[in-house]
Amino acid sequence: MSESSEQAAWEKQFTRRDVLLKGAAAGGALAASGVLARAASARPTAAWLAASRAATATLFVANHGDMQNLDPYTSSADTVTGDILTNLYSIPVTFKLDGTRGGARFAQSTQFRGQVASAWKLSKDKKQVVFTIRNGIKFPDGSPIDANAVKFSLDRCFDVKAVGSFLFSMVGVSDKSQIDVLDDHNIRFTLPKPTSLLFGNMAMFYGSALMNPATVKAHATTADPTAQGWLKTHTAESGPYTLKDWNVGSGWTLEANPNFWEPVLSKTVQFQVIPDAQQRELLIKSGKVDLALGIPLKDVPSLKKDPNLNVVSLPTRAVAFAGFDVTAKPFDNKLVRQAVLYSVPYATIMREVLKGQGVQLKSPIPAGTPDSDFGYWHYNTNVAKAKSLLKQAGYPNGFSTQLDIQTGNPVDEQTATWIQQGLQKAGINVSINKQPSAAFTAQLQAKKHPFWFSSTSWISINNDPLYHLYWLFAQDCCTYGKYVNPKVKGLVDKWVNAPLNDKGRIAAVRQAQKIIVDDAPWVFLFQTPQIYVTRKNVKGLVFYPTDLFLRYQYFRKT
Amino acid sequence: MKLGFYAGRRILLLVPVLLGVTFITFALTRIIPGDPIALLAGPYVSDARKVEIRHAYHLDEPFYAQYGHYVTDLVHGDLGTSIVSGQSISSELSRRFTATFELTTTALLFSILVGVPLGILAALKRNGWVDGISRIVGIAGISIPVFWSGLMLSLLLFYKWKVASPPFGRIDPQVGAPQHITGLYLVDSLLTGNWAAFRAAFAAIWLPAFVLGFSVVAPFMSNKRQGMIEALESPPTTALRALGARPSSIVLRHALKNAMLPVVTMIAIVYGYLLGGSVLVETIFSWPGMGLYVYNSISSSDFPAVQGFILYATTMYVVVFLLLDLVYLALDPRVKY
Repeated sequence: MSESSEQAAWEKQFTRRDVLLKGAAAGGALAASGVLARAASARPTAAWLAASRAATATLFVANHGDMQNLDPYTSSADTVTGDILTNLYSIPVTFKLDGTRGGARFAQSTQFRGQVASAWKLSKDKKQVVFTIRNGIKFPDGSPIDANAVKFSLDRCFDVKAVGSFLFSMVGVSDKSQIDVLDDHNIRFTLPKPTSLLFGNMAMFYGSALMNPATVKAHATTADPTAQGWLKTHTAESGPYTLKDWNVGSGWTLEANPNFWEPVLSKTVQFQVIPDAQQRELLIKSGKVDLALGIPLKDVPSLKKDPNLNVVSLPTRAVAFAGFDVTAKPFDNKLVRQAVLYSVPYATIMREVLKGQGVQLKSPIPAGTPDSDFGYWHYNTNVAKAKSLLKQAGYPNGFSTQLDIQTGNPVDEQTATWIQQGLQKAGINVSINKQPSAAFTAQLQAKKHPFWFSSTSWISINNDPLYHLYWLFAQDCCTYGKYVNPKVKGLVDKWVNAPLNDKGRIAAVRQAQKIIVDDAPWVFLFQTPQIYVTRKNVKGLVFYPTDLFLRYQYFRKT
Repeated sequence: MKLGFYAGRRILLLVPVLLGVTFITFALTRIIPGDPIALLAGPYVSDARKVEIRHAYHLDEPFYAQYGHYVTDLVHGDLGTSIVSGQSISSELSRRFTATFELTTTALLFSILVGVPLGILAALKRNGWVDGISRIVGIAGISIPVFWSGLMLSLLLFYKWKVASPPFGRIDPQVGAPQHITGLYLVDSLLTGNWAAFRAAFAAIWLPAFVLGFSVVAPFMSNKRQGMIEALESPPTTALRALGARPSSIVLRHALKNAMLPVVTMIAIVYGYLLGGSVLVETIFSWPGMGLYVYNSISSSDFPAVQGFILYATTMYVVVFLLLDLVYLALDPRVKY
């Protein structure tokens, strides 16, 4: 966990000279650095003023779907709604910015900066964290943001039993009384034991979105004291943008929050719902929109040839794996699972489905997460080995099984077909069973898929290896294949709250990976890439590897 | 008076039909596997919390109790709220209905205006070149899938030749929707004299309407052609000819009217079919209509939305056929009620 001294050092890091140097080096990222300089000092710098003057009119975005439930604490946080909520609500701490790679500025995933908070302090025993709220900041309607407003929002997180409240319980904040207001500017979290996960668990709108208490209270009723009904279709913003209009089914407009304390370079962002991917591509190619979201992997190579477009395809930490029910025949047998892993044509999938993008996943912990280690992987495609393992397992003539996938996702359908072909060679007959997403998800959460695949099922929002293993291998909630190795669970439980750089923790993370790779509870497949396509004149794309949502405040058109 | 009595009785008969539909829909949405709460709540949320959410939507109650809630709400004019978006189903459906209605009606007008004259010409000049061309047009309309023709025409007309407007849906967002009166953009912009909105709405609708209309030209054409041939060869027409009536009068005053009946039936059938929402055309042209809405609702098991849509679609069908029967009454003197 960072301490306020580190925060101070980071603020100093962004002197004006530094901003200019970094800006020059990073080209288009000049504006983004300026943003931070301003955020840190809360006083405009020359660089920011220049960038602000360059702020251009409306940014047009072609999106693939419409928004759903807008309540940050009860939203399902689907990719469209989550992206917008991230831009409507501010949070106490968010991620620092990092360097530029692969055509985009990166945000950090383990280092934090204050957004609503200006600083934080850890007590000596590390069981208390006090956040200081930035001085003089306001909601869009002009009412002041203070510790009471933050407390009100966090209380609501617990009251509606938001996803965030479960993430707070994970680090020991299981009741809202553990968060108390010291004075107008200071709010304290009391923890039962030190943890390294608090910041990462709360750096998302569904953990700690700051909501305008006046707006929420005005729409609360006795039947609905937290105004959940009203907030599904309305907002109580505190972030860089306010929702100006929403034409359900067609699109919506975000407008810069005049009281936001960080610069917002794109004053207006207009979203159009364009459900068809080919049409989104025609729109961005013709220049009718500035940014297109939800572009299929297969079209990236051809779009990259367009000189007017900036096509960014970045590896994410989203783990795409096919899971086995390890309690039912035939996948209860480790040798059978290993045989499947040996018969999957990984290289073909990476080439044909991902078109050379993304990363092949070779461990339960994805590349990009600290202490991820692909060194334990030994399943390169080998049909002969698969056959001999099947023979050893008592299936000399193979067997038949069914692979469940969701409809409507071409990447999933193509990957499933390649898995089917690969397994066929080893003598395993796979029939592919496509299910509507609600049916697929319900069966997944009920742990009733014998063998399933989804490329979009998991990304750990806290980039911590043990957070990742905790949910996927040690918790009742998400061990969808019922694989719980007591040894792995023991390691996770023992070390999950320890500091990231603890030697014992690092060793535990490695040991857990070795055990899981050997047990083969998943067919480790790939880390799904994230794709953004912008016009060449659009600068300021910042990639947040934790949640993959965009921050429109950094965008500007030149 | 008699007509009023007839229409009244038909409308009363709608009640049991619609009630039956609500029951079947309700049962079907519950039988199909899928749990809206699983998608809604996400993985982190505890089972206890999921039970609470289920309770909030009455999903934990027995089937008959859930159905009871549904029908009680329906009687009060409440179609419920979408589990996924939280929007009221009736406001969402009515907004989407006007979008689909405007597109479908334009497409239908187009297909009738093209299909019927082509059918007449084809009947008059049987096996001539008009007949040949109309047959090609008809077969092409039926056999070219709309997702292909829609995308190809977008590529050529919007992207390459820049004569069509971008596929932004009902209107260019820069222009903005006209003042709401009927919800139909073309009509509202005319009523308010908002010419910019009218131009933009027309620019947005002609291509999707053409694509959708083109796919249903064939039924009108072949129907009209067949009807005309029969009418022209019927004994009364032969008698007229023998009496020395002018050919134009035979065609326009007699054959045309007699050949209109099957076309009217066809209009009702096609209209009902189109109003159900054309998922593909709406998806390709970002048209915020019913088709895509119901597709998404089914895939996320959004029960109230699916129920609301089916109830609406059935009502439309039944109403269209009721109107059809009344039109028959006007066109065919043999029909008596």
